[in-house]
Amino acid sequence: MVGTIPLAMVGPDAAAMDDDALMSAVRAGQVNLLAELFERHQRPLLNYFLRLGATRTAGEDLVQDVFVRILKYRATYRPGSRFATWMYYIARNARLDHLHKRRGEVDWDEAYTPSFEPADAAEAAQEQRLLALALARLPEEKREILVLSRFQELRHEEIGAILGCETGTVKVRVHRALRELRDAYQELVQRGEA
Amino acid sequence: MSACERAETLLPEFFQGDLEAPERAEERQWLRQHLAACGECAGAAEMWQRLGGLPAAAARPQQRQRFEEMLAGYQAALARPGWWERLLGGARLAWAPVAAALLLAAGAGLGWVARGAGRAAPAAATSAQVAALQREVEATRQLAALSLLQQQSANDRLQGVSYSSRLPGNDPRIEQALLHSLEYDPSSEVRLAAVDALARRAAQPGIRSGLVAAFPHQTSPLVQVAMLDTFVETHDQNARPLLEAVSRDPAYNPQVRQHAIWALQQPGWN
Repeated sequence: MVGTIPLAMVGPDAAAMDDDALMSAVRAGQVNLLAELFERHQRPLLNYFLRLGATRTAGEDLVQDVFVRILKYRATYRPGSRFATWMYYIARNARLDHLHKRRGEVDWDEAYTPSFEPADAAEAAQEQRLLALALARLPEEKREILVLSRFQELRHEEIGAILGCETGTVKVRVHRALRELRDAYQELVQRGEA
Repeated sequence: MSACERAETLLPEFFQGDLEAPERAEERQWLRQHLAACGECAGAAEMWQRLGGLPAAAARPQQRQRFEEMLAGYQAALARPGWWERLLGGARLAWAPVAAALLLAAGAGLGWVARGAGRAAPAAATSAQVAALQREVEATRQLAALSLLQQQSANDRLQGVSYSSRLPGNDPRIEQALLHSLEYDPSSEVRLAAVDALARRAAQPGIRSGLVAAFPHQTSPLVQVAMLDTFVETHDQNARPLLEAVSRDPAYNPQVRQHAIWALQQPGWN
């Protein structure tokens, strides 16, 4: 039986463990170690949702939902696999469920206003705004594959496992998405949009 | 694979730092040379680099606090003995299948002894012994079913549901375990089997209300449709508002909504 362990007692040992070791321990019942995984992944996970169009509130709800699901389904984690791949698989499903449940409501910004504005907007580069806008204009599946590849730094085979397709298909999709992003970005630059 | 295709494949790895490994120095060098010579791929690399420069949002402290509250609540719930631990009187869960198997073997052994003893015993005494042993074997079967429902393998849990559905009587522990599977099992196949097993016990008001309560948690249209069929079979008046809500709610799968409309049109609700 697992007792309640204060999060402060997660300790330096947890910090020295890799993701797989931590999740394997969580799976075995040391659920307090999930705090270390949360610390490592909450920000990338939040930005994953934000870059796919979530509002700040929806993104934070989804981060929480992902970690609830990790606890709930911890027995399905396979020790020795890469935690991030499993987590983003859960994150993707959580997002799809969220979109399904909230269809017709306004907390998911289909038009996508980048909600990851830099702290000092006045200093934000014009090129970044245009690029964020171009990314937002990409079709959902292309935006998703670029976000997984570039921002979440997942390898092609890991993205294939998350999306349920072959590695070769991922390579082709990444290539096409990047080309479409370039076209959209150049169009915005030429039109001088900001 | 053309040179440009190779470069496109290597670009993500290049920006993730994977080509920095000594054994990939040759690929790194090749990519740099290609980018210097190919304007198209250089443009792709520039876009890839710009993407990496987009700022990322910082997490707010409230997020961490919210997570800690959730985790503390989860740990507190774990610290309370669950129905299974109460059932086994605090025995470790890892030993549960072993205990169940031993009890099953004990039950079978007792049955064999009783059969041999029954040849010499008076008829009335034998009848009482057999009834007692039948109860014991039934209890053992229940334990085995409950044990299987707790296993990590979905196949084992499916077997547990199947075993449970064949048990006679209305054991609240079995019913509770099946409702728990329906609500929380990650496998839709297990949940579907649990619906079937619960449908056979739907004469119990507790089962019917449990099915209604579990419906909103379901995400699989297949399981939802099976539950709707169960509501039609039982004509549970308490399920009718749920069916009406499902038939109107666009968040549900269109086929599920259509099935709810069909279910409401079936005779026997009034």
